[in-house]
Amino acid sequence: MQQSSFSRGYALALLLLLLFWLAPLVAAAVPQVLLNGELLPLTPAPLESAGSVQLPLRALALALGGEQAAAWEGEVLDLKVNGQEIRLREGATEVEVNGSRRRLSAAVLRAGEDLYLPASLVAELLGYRSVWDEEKHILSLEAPLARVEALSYAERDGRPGFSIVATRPLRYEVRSLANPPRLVVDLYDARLAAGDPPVPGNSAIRGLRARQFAPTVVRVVADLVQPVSFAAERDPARPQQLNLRAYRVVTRASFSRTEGQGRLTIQGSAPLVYEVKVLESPPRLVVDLPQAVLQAAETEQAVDDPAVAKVRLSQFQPDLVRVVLDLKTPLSYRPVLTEDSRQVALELLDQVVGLQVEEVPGKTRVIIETTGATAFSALHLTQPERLAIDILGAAVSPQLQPVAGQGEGPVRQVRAAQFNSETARVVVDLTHSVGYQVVKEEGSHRIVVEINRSAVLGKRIVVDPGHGGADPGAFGRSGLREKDVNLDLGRRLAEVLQNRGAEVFLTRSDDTFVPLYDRAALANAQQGQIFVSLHANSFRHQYANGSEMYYYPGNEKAKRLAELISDELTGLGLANRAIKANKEFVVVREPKMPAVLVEVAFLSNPDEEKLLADAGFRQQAAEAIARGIERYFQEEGRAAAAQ
Amino acid sequence: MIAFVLLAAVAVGVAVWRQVRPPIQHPRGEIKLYFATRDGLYLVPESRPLPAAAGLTSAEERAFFIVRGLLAGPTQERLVPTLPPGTELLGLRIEGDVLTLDFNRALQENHGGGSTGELATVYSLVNSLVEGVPGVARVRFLIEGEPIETLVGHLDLSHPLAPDWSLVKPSP
Ligand SMILES: [Zn+2]
Repeated sequence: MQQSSFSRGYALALLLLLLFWLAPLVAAAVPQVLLNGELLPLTPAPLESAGSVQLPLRALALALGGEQAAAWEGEVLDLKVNGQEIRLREGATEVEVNGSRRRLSAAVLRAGEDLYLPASLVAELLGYRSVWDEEKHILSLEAPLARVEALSYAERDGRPGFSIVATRPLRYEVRSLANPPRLVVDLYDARLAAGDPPVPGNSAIRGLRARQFAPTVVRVVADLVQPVSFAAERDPARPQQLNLRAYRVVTRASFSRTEGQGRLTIQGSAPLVYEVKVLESPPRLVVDLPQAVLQAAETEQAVDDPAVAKVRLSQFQPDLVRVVLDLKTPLSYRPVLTEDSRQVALELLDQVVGLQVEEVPGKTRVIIETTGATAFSALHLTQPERLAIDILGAAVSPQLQPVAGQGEGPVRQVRAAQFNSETARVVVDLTHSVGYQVVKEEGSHRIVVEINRSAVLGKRIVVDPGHGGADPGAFGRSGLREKDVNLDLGRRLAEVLQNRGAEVFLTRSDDTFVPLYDRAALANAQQGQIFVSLHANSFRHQYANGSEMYYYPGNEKAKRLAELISDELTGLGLANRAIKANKEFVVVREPKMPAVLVEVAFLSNPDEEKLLADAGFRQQAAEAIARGIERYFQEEGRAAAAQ
Repeated sequence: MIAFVLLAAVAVGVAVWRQVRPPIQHPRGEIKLYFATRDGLYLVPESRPLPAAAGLTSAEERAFFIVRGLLAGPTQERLVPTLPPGTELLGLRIEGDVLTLDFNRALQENHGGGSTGELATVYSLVNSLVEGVPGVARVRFLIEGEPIETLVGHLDLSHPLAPDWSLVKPSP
């Protein structure tokens, strides 16, 4: 307060002093100002003192096209002279020009309602040349003027606008005015040499008008079809050309979900430029659209979606539209192209948020939980055995941890990783090959992988390829040896069973002789749960054909196993001969486990010899036997469950 | 070790090592020889009248007669021989209820193999002999005097075998 009253008192004293000092000059000749040779009327007039001229800034601003007299803000005078923003304070020894300070050699003078600066300084600030004719009391200012040579309508990137071509890069100022909507472009240090272009203009502009608004200011007015902002920029290739382009109009933003794929669509009047930010707490997707104005009927829209709560639109800044997608969980996105180039479409990358392994009777279920995406494709991969479920339009949640399988399999673990920018991959690591199906769970956002748990999973099975080495077994007419058929069948059966998770033990895995009792002893040492001896039959008469099974009399489990294997082999078209009980087959009597001897078919029968010689048939036979074994263990499992 | 009397030839007759045992009084004048059906599924008996020769009253002579009949093969078209070609009986003996047969290598080497084939060979002998030779309950197989583990890789021939009547086709 004290300082303020002191300043005021000081200013008053200074003013009195000035008036006293200047009085004789004012009474003398009044200096005149010529701008590019033309008289620039200034009221109040410039002050002349000791060979220099002080120009009244407020009067100058008006003379150069200022819209209205600058206003005093206390002791501060803010004014705009020829497009330059100048802030003056009476008595100060500095001046602010376009925000930066300039020191003065003398204090700012005040006379009446105006403040004065030396003409040389003013000329420098304006970029003019100045000459003071002391005798004639004439100040000549030379402004280097750009000639405005052409006005034209233009449309680029779907955005209507107009261009102004001058002889030099223009200094300009753009304002939007309402009622009627129009755009005013002031071009400083400019001289109009162009005529108005013909009307009508284009989709945004009714017409263009230009006039010499002030001695150094050309004013171009664009009458607009509707109120819309414009962006102005010097043409990158021709700086002397000024391009004005209508802002994009954002009319709508909406969220939809089709076949599990969530999509945010922003509709514009022209191709939209945008920038997306993924923000957390609260999770949201922010789409900023610069040089855009919002003209939407709806600015907020609630969404009924597992991942999205709301879509909001706002004119976030005068030249920036912001679309916000309020999310229920943090999600990423990917841009997609649409047929309408004026649309921005972002597909939500839903997240895989949960993995779960669940055991149900006969099946292991892997449950994949997403925030919405349920489009998938499934692959069975080997070495090592695994399933890959690709979830389209999804990302893996960073919090997601691998899940271990339970018990003896077939699921070792379930893990998820980003396969590519648009696909999350869930991998189910398996202990062995499985039958499976992948389904969408109705009314949820879960994908369920149902893995058939084989009944042979974890079972210890002894497979006994008959004969071998010095014992060739039977011969076919073509020379096919039983021991070779048996070994191949045994290997195939072992593989099929192993692929279903069984622990398989072969009594021989190559062409070696193993005595009958040794085979049983090996099986007992391995503590097998069943024993299956594989043979190819032979009989004196070639008429004999079909499959035959042997088991030890009274062993009902072995009998059932024989029945089931026989049933499956019969399914291949082989004659169902017989299931015989006999006490003297070493390999069905000696193992301490249900044991069967399977004579698959007759090498002595020409038709069946052809079958046995065919690897494809042997594979079918191995699979049929495996099915029989599988059924046996299924029945065993049911019986155990019933107890 | 009890010595075996080798037979010079099946056709000439069989020299039998005799044990002390009661003479056999077979009730009927015929015996049954079990041959295989063509599909190998069953054994089917064929009857043979016992010749009136005096020697056939002994168990060994009856056993020899039976083996010779099996080696000769069936008379019916629908039946199939069960012993491989070239098979020769080298000797036989009876100890208690066990009849031991000693064959030449052809029994094994000329055999076509297969469980069905092995069952037919073994049980055509065992069933025929146990049924046809009173006092014999089991049959042991030797090849050239040596015990064998199996004939062609399926049945346990390391010990005397009892008959398996389940292989015999039930009468229609
Ligand atoms: Zn075999």
